[in-house]
Amino acid sequence: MLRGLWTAASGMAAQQTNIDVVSNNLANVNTTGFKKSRANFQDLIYQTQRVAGAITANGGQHPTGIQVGMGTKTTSVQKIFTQGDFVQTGNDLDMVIEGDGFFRIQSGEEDMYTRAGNFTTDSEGYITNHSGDRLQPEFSLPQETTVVSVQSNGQLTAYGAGDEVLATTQLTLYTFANPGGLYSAGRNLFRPTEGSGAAIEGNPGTEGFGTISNTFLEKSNVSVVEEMVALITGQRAYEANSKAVKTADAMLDTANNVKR
Amino acid sequence: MLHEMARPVQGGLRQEKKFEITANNIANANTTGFKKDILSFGEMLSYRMNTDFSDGPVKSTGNKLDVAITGDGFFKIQTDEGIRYTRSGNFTLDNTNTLVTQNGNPVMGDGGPIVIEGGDVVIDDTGEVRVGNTTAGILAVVDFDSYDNLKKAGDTLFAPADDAPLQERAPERVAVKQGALEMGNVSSVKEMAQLIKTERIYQTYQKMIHTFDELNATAVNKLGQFK
Repeated sequence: MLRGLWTAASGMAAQQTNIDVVSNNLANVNTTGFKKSRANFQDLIYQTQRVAGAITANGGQHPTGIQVGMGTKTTSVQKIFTQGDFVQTGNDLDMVIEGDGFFRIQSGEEDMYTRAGNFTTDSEGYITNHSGDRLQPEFSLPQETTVVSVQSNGQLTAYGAGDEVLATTQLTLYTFANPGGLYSAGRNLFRPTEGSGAAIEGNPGTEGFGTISNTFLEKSNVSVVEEMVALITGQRAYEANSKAVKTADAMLDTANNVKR
Repeated sequence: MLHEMARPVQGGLRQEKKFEITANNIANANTTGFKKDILSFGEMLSYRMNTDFSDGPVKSTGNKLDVAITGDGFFKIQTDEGIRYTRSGNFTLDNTNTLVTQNGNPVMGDGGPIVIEGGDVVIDDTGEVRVGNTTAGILAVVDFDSYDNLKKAGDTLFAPADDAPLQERAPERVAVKQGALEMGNVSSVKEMAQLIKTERIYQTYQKMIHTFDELNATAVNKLGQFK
């Protein structure tokens, strides 16, 4: 009897994870370069109480077995790397990646990867993200730069007031065999793991890499409507499981009252 | 005099089993590719369990490596214990670019595991996985003449009931849909109704036990009085 109670409790725990993930997606709906997550569920082990094909008392065969499931579990919380919407900002150092790839950022001593291209410059003119981590390979914009242009192949050119070319550099992108295996480190940054594989470097626009445009930003890929629906179904599933817990409780009460 | 008691007790135990199965269906209402179980009772305390293999609702996700089977069949998964079958198509890639389940088990194609190099994956209706113009493999979708020999193995996988390989055949109607997932085929309304029914029947058996108890009490107390 108590088994069903735990089964329902596993369902409640799973739905709680689901709601947590959906809430985080909704909280980041306006976060540049944010990629939504999804909780994946699987059924737990089954307890086999009778195998199919077992012989019955009067010599026949049971055509089907009896397997009682133990509930559900969260297998993974998967990052979904679909493209977010683009929004034009007019800011020369806002960049988007159209297609696959990440920018590499040096955060402390560590290489981190991001889709958030809202860059700025530090006091020495280096291109950095808003936490002050420099975009790799490092590049410093000359002081007298007025306009920065980025071609789709990642060629960045800094122009002066008279349209003269002051400096150029090649921006590079990085991809992973399994971006879903990246570790979300917060602050829009991802850290490579065993599961994601090592970063593969390439130039924008080449096979397997997206292209870069500046004066645009990639918004999050969270769809509010979709998340709202997920929130509703998650909450209702949570409720359904709580009803099963209540039923288990009522049945236990009934059982206890067999003896008056 | 006590053997009447056995029937309501047996009946109550059957309802407990029914409840466990209903609770498991509800717990897996949001599990992709989950198929609900139905416990049905026959005469003389016999019961049988069936898995309902009807299609679940298909939810569009837009994720390139989510695939749903609309129609018959199962995906083939290579696990350490052997070949397993699943309707849950929330696949991903591992660090060797191989198409795997969320547990990291390779998804079988016509010629073994499918390796996807490059980003632009297209999976067509027949399950052919293409990257650009090259075919990476064709997703193996297989069906069986009877589902009686499938048992649930957890992790939304089905295993052969007696561990012997099953006779696979090509499904009659199959369509693989990219960017979509098949949700569990659990209906909350039906399961809720089942919960209520189970609880009430369980109470009925309790009342029966009480009634028999009262009869017994009457027999013991009144018959002995000889007035």
